[in-house]
Amino acid sequence: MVTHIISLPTDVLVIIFESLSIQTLAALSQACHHLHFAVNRFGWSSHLLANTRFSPSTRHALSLRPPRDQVKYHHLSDIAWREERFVARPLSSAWPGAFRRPALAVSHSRLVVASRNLVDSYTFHSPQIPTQSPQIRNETSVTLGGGAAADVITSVAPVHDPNGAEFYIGLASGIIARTSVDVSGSGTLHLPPVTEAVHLGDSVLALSSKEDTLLSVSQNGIATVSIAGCVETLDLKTRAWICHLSTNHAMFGLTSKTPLIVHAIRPSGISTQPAHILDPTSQDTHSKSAVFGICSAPPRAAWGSEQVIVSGWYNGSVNIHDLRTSTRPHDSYSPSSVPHLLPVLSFVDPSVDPIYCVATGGGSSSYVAAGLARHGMVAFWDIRNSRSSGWSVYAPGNDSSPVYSMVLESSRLFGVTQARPFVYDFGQGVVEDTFPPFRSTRAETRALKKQEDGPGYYVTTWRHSQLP
Amino acid sequence: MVLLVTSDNKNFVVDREVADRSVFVKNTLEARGLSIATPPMLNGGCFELTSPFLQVLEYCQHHRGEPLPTTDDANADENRKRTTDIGEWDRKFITVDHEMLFEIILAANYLDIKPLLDVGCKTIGNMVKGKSPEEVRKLFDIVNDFTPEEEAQIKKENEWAEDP
Repeated sequence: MVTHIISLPTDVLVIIFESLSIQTLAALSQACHHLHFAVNRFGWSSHLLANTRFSPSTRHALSLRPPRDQVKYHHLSDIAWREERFVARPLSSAWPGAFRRPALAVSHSRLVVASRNLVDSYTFHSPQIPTQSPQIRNETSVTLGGGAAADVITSVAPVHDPNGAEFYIGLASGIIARTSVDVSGSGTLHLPPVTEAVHLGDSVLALSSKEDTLLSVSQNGIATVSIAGCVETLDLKTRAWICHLSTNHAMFGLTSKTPLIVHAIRPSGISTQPAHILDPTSQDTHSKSAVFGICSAPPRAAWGSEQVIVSGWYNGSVNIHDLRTSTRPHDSYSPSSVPHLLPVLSFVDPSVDPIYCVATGGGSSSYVAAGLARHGMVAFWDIRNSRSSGWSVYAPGNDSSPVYSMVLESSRLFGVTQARPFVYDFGQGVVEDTFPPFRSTRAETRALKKQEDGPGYYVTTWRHSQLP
Repeated sequence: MVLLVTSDNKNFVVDREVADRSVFVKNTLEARGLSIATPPMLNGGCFELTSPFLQVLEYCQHHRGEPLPTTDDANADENRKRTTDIGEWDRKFITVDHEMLFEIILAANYLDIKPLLDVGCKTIGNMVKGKSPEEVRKLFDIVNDFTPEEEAQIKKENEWAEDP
């Protein structure tokens, strides 16, 4: 035979490998020496490139493994997601006192948790034993100012700086500051004299950052967009809860007849009128509601792009809108010419509790997570199977508070209740040493219920279909 | 019109628009201001050239005038990788024996005809989809050159990838 599959040049094999499933790559690599070499040398790495995942806390540690082992880690965590198998861990002991509204954010090297005027940072590490899960360690715990009410941190977002140590923080006093969390020594967080943007006397409620752009919204509905330090202001004229930034859009969750609005961000600045108004499902259209959580579809997921927007609503529904569709209500009640869009997909939490935050990603980049207003509960839905009901899980410790803030990676979910930050880890090789140790009181130890035969803590999981 | 000469000295006179489907030919013609190009794969003399070249010409003829994919369009590149769909005409066109398929892929690679290269590679991808190692060997006439020990070892290191 003149020409044979093994005589194809490497660059052609790489193109063939790009479209192959994991099972097929594995089968090819078992066919003969030549293909075994080619798949191990090029196949797994091209699969990784074609299926990038959002996984800051594991990314560096995994990058030290051979490509095949990286694919294996992701593949097994995808299966764990499907089987609802994970390790639940508190990341710290409970904060003292009750009312607080903590926030968390992830950069490529750190997780920061802001709670009142305290900022805890955690760093991401490689395990000593390569088969173990990438590690998370306490880095520092710093206090802002004297603990005055004005110094309460309300929101946090990553700066996207090269070493991942800088974050934007928003305060109850209305100040937004860019600060570095890895301060050594004093344990005091210093705010730089130059602030990014200010809502004087109007509490910052949410921040969202992307590349060199920062979006903020205050309690009174004043939004700011800061592009490379140049600040623009927009008055939304209503109570605002949340904002979310994508490459071309700024989205706001409000208490209003139109609780979810999308403004365009152009080189010239933010549009004064909304570009889109995103409605709930048609049966809720005329009920007044509010949106507390907004995020985009995961980057490079099969089901979406930045044009796909996921929102969590006061009435317990999660709506997914696609800005590219024309699914519009027949009779828009709004007199303006702003186009209304209907969701392309909706999920409803069976407890019908308000949804405080949403996140997308997880196994196969196919999950939507919603942090609920009560019982420290997180609900999950698999976007690939919209007809199947989802499942819910309580945070470790059965805290009675909302889940206020979440970050969803491909194998981990970080969340925070008013008691403490926690993680659900769906990856392989989780051991006691994977997560930072913490000291807890006897009462807390009892409430947390550590598993005797593993690194995890008992949490209650239930399928939505189990409800009568 | 341009004249394309293969290494076995067959001459093909084709429309410039058809020849331009090959980025290699297009660049050669533009750089030298020539109307004659000798595609490089055709210089080796180790392939049976004329018949895959005729196939490639047929492909270029059919797709003449369509916009060429640009390398800087990241989104288009994304879409290209994601989809395993092949258009109906292309599917019929590429329904050839394995040897011709490999020859067309080699020609498309050398001549830099990206859409054709993709069609060929996706076709191979679709052929091997879901096959076991033994079925892959049978499909492509591959000799199992592993020792039984190696085979067991490699099977073990890939066990995780089997569909549960």
